[in-house]
Amino acid sequence: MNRAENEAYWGSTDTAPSTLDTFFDEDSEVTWRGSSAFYSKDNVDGGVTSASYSSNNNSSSSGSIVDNITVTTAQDWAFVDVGGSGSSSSRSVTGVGKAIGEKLDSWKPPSVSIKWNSSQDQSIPCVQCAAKDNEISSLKKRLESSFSRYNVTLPPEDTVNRILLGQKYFLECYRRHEDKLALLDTALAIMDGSAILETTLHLKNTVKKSLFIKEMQARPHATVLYVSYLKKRHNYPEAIDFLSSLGKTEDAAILSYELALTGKTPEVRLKNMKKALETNFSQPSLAFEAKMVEDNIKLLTRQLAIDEADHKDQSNPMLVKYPRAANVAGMPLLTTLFYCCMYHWEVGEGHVGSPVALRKAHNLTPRQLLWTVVRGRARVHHFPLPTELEAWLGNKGLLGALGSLTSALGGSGKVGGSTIKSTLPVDQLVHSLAASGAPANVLAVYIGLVDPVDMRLKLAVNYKCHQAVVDVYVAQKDRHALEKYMKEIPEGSPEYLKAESALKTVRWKN
Amino acid sequence: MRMTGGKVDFALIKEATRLDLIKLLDSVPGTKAIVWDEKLAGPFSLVADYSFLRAHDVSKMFYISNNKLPPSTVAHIIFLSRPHTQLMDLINKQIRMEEVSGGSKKEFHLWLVPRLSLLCEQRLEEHKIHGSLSSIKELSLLLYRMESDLVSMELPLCYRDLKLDKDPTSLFLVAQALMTIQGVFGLIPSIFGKGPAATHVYDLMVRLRREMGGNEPQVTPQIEQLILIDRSVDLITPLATQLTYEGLIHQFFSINNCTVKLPGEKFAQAGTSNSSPAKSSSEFPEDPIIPETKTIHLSASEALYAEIRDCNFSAVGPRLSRHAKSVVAQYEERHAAKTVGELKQFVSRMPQMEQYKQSVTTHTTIAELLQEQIASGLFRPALQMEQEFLKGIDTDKVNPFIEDCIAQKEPLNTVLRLMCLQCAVNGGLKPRVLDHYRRDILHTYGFHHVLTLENLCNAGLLYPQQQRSPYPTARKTLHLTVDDVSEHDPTDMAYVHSGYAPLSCRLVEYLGGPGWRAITGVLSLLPGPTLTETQQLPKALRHRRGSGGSVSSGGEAGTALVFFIGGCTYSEIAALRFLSTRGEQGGPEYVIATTKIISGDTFLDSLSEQLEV
Repeated sequence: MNRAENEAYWGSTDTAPSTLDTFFDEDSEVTWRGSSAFYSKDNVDGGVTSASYSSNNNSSSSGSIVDNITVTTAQDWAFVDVGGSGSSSSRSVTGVGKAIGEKLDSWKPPSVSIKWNSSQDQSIPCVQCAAKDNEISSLKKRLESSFSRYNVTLPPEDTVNRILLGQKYFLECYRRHEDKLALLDTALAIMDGSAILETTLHLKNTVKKSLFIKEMQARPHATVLYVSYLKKRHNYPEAIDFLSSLGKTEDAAILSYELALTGKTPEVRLKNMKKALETNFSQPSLAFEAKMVEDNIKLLTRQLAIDEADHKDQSNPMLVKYPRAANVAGMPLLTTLFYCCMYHWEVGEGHVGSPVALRKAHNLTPRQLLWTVVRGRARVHHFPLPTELEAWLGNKGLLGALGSLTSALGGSGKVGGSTIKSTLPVDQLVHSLAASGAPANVLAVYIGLVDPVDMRLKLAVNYKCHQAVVDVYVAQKDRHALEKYMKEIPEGSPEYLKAESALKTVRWKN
Repeated sequence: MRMTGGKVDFALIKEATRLDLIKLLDSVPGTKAIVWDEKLAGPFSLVADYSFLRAHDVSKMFYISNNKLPPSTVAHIIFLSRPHTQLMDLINKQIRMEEVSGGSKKEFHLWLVPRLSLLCEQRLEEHKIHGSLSSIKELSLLLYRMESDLVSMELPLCYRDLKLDKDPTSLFLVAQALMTIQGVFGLIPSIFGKGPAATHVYDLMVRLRREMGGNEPQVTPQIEQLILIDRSVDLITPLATQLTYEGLIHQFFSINNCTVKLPGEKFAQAGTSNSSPAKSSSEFPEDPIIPETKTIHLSASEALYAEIRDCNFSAVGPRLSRHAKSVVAQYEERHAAKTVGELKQFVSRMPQMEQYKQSVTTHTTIAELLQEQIASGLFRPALQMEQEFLKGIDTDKVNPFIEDCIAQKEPLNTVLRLMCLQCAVNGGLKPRVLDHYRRDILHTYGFHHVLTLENLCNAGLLYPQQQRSPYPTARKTLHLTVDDVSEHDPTDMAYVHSGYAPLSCRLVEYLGGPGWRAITGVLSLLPGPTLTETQQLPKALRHRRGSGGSVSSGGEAGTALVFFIGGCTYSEIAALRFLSTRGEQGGPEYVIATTKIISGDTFLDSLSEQLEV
């Protein structure tokens, strides 16, 4: 049936309801869901037809589809936007610039009571539309009454099959609760996304919320699908609410965190995260996630404070020497630590940017800590020696102070029970330091920590770290090798002198 | 090695889809402009080219975007789009801009590929644009032919949809695709499968067949077996590094619709200097006209590529150098040509030789690019780590290499890949180990990755250990790791990962070999039910076939279709092609269908959570 016929059909209000029964004839193509097509159609004729656009660049000879697609530029859109807002043709223009998110927020599924009334298109004062709306609503009313009178329903299997095969179908005739559930269960058995969603929405739109929740509780598959539907529509609040009323607090929690993260500014994100943490993360099974969200909040709060303090601070020489590339808000934790190590290495623990304070606030492993500190300091060309690092690491309040005291006495360089050597792969550390231009004397100390000895030697030779090479040969008591290597060392340099004195004093094996 | 498929050639599928397209195009009389969904335009070139569309009155083509459509005088504007709501929003904008600007009166059509969707229609209705569209139709283009033995459905999000959103729509599409295949090649008598998705697809097939009633295609079956593999049965293989030539190209440069875009400067060099293969990293300034990327079409119609694409990369070099020598030898033949007749013969062969030479040059350059990537960065150490995991070494502890990768802030995908691999092999990670990794990752890469980790958890890639891992048993029974695999002259499919045979393909191999009854122990350990069904052929066709079933007839095992639900890798394709080459030993010839060709990175990308801030 083409549109003209269709319109004629719908236009003739005298058609008796009895003809509606033919709807269930499979061959009848009456567009039940397409009823909105008629009032919108009238708006297409929005202007004088000026067909005199000359066709633009045509006919490139390449056969590929992608190569032949004309790509348009952004200016076209801007042009239309300006022209559109100036014109007074109301309807299509207002629609153009309207933000979609805004629309979606305001969109509500029609409730049971207004379902058969005209669509919510009240904002447009269009005589023709109003007439059509009235017509549609009266037809709908008539249709509804015809159902109640004859109580026509197709078996659920048939309707679901129609959805599955992309044919016309009609759900409003399933008015009894059992029928709706049977419909949903049939869709679930067939496992078709569209069918499940369609029948779920039908249920949702026609029953009380509590009942809907109860039925969904028994149908986990439909639940997940419905939630992802809400998510795709960016209707997070409803999805979260739905999940929590189902008792799926864990999913609700994760979703609320996800929602919080989509906030436009860090401040909004912070606020939403706090709210999410308070309301959704109380479950013991979410301990890990809750901790992470809490950490995220703590971190973001600190980052905002740091940005506030640093963004115009000219008194900090580091900030002047190495201008900030970007705000630190939203950066990962270790990047923030890196930042603090760069700019606020010296400050006391009370300062927001203090790396020590950051470390205390977050439970960082020594490994993460050391790597980041070494790199952060190297970035500003400061290369702390292992002992300095260990002292810094040991700075953990009374217990830590005691630890660093004992380590100073014992000289073993313990870091909370572990040395730098046991925390980091020292060879990689050496590569990293050398790459950032550490001086030879610092390198030598780190190379000295490398095990086994041949690896240490290889690294030392590779980075021309004479002192470390000399140390190795002395430790190996290998006089020949040392003498040979001394040719590489500039005469008179401290390393050379050291090697010379070693030649005299050490007991050599050869 | 067989160059093209034997009996079953998917070119027929391409023809069938073209017919559908023609039908739809011709249903709209008059001049047309097609507005493409950008992601759809690429795969479409596997179905039709521009001249084909022009022959059907398509005079303009644009992209669906934020911009106004350029002015045109066409009578119809057709939006060709995937059923995604974001695209509907853009279409809405473009139609409205078109309506505002006036111009000649046009009709708008929307064709959704491959299916109509409730969400999209709803969205259009909300935009009140539903009525401006003269028609909304579906173009059920389900299968894109990649090679004569390979079709893809181009559904990259299939696994995510199934596992995270629990949206089974792609299963329905798979079933429909299988009906299309059966429509062309006849009903497939025996069906095997493993995993929940396999069973669902089979159920849907039965339903669809019932729907057809008596109208079954009267085609003599050309495919004897269908093997449905649910990706969730084998999550190890997509995480392992593929070491075939094609697999490596895909992992480093990503092959889309049989084409790959490579950095251009190497090729320009190789093109201009006719001397030996281009040297790496030239010092002199680049020629300004060199394009930034070079697009290369990869297909088996290029004999050289067909030969090397499934080779282990270490075997590619020697083969290429052999070909380079033969190019030189061919050119040398001109000295041997003494008479005018011989000379004429030589000249007539010149175009072929030119082509051959070009082909060798191109692939030598690609091989060099791959070599560079392999030599640099994390590739080798990560591969080594991965192979240790696959051998089951130290999988239950916090792995120092992974820790280091995190500390060095290596690409997150590499970290996740290794971590998920460790998890898959170990049958879950100890809670302490898992928490350690998670915390490290969140601290280094940012807290918002909680969402991605959560997704991986829901997708069954990252989970706390609950029971004993099935992997050691599977590894032993199915010989998943082979120590002395020959990469140059392979005798086992394990060559595709240099020592690891894809679990999925081993299942296929064993089905052909001793049969699945011999490995019920392993099958029961793997997730999901095992499917063994037969389809009753229509009466008219039954007597034409030989005695009874097809699998038991031994000898000529015919053709088997392996369908990967949730994507497959090039290494799996190579492994199955390798099985096909052993056809003379009585195994069937395999043709392959997949929802998408994936790699470790694309697989993880499809599961990660991109925030729209």
